Amino acid sequence: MTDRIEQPFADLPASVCDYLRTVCVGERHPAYFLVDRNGLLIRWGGDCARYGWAELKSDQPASEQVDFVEGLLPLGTEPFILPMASWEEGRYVDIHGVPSAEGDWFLVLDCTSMAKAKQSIQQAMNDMALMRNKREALLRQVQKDHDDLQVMLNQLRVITAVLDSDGRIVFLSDRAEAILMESPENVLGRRWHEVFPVTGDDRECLEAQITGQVNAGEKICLRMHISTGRDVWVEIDVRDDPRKEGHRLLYCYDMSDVYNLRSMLEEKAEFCGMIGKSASMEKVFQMIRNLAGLDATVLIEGETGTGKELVARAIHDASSSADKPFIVVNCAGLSDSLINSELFGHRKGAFTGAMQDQEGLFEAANGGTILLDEIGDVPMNTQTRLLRVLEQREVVRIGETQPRKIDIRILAATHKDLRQEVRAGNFREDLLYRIRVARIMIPPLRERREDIPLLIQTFLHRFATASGRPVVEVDSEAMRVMMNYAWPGNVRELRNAVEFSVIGCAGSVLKLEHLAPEITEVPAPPVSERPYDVNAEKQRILEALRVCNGNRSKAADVLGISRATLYRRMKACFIAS
Amino acid sequence: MLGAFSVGKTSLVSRYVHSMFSERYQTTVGVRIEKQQMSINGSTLDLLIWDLHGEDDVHTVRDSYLRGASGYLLVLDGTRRETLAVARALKQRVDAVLGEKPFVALLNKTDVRADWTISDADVESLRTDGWHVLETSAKSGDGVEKGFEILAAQLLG
Repeated sequence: MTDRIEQPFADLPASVCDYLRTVCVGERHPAYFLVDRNGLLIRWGGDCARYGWAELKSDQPASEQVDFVEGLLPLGTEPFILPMASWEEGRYVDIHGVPSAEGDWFLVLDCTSMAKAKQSIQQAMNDMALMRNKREALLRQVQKDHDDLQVMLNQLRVITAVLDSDGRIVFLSDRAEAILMESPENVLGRRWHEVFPVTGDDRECLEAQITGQVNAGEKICLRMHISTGRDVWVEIDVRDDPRKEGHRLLYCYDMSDVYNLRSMLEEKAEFCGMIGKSASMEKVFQMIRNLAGLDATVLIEGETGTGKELVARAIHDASSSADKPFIVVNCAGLSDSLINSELFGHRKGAFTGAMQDQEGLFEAANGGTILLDEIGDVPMNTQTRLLRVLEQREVVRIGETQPRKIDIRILAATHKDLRQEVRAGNFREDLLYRIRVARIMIPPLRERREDIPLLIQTFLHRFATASGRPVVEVDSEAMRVMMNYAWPGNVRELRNAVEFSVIGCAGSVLKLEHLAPEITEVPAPPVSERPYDVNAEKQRILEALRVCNGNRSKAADVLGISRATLYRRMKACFIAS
Repeated sequence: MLGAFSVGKTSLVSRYVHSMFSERYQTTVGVRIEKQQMSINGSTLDLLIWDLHGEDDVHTVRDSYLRGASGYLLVLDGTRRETLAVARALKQRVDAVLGEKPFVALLNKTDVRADWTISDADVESLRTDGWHVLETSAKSGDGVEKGFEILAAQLLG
């Protein structure tokens, strides 16, 4: 700023020669007047005509004939001198007043051409003083602007830092003291990572932007571990310093409040791994809380992918048996011959291959909880044995006759309408009543669409973090399409769709082009209206199994369905397990 | 005409006597004497205006310049607060040399009022001390004639 202030200069009309001529030769052109004590002009002499007083009259008031005399009256008794008087442009005189013993006055005019030089010097000095005055005012304004900016920066809750090309701090705003617990004066010259307490991936990410390994321009969300033990969540914006090449500007926004509020919101919207804040999900969460303290058998109903197993685990985790076993039995995945042995156990030699005594899954879950998933697919004869377990709370291993007491909580889950199965003769009515002491209906995703944005954001954050992708948001068009999609595979399908999209997205915004084709194509009809093509389904399952080398869990993941659903569909499609 | 340097004394005289104003700042060395005849309350008055050089760090107004003065205009620059202190000092000097004489304080440069550093409170303080303060602009002419007229009226009164 100071560079812009012009230095004052002096325009000297008088040359050195003028000085010399004045001093050595002199051009004084003196004139004099004798004025009596009453102010009357008595005599005059010298070069009066030069000053414009060619016709003077004696015994007449001097003040009426000579311009300046009026201003001198009364003359008093002391001699005086008036330097540099002028009444005509460019002509200066020194006026000397000398009283005589008789009380008369001699007024002597002494012309000098030094006047121009003196005036120029004085002009330069005054110009310099004015310039200094302006400069000081400007500096005061700059200082005030700086102070105002500093106050504003501090009010904005932003830490501003300037780094030199070596990553050393050359400026840090006062706000740092409140957030980083570091005084700006104490950090100057230190490297940024000694002051900004970030570690691990966060540090690498920030370093990459500061050193220019990756293009700056996108805010980085970081957690800083402050020396007081407090964690602060910040967003850091790294920019080039436009004033100096190689320098970096860091704008550090304290997002702790936002983060904490968001966490509270997510905590409220998430219950034991289930996400939702719709009224129907709130109802499910409340049912889980209500049933957790009871020992009643619970039937969990819902379409595939709605999270039946999560509900069962939530009931177990919220119960007093949370530290005891929780065993999930996929009834659809067990063949008729195996299911009894798996559930109830067997005695050595009970059947071919029974090489030793084996406890069943009921016994293994003793003290805890067992979930009979896809209970609608349990064979009839097993249903009878299940009825005994539910009524007597005892199991009889195959090949034994003595029942064994068990203390377990039984939960069952199904995607089928068991009333319909009862009517069709596939399910025992008395077993239905036994397992349906309490029931929880999990709504399909299409009936709680208001939860879709929250689910998308949760999965987006989860997969972006896991994959290191910078995806942070979904654009409105992609969100609209996902909101309109039927989601026949429910939350599981949505989760897989988001994961697929994140993998294909290189930027920070997930767009329509990143979504899987089946979502962006013609909207899927409601599940109930979809024709079931057995051959197509069979081919899809076989292809998934081939890709996953026969691993059913992985194949289920690829297909976006649970293992239980995979087994059930394999059975429906006549694919040998 | 008394005041700190560059407050606009010569410009005020030039505006009043010649109805002219120049943006170029030219310092006054010594004293420049101007005459102006004016009519006030039916009387004709000859004003012999002594425009003295400005008071600054190097030059102080010589007492000899003050002799014979019937009254004076004390000029301040609204954009430079330090001219207020100079004006007060000059007032004390005149009082010491000539005794109390009629005077009017001209607060000059109203054309750049946005840059003023002399506040209303400062002006109020001067008025409390018995000063007659008038705002002027040698550039626009505002208040200039009135300033001289008020002084003339005081001289006659």
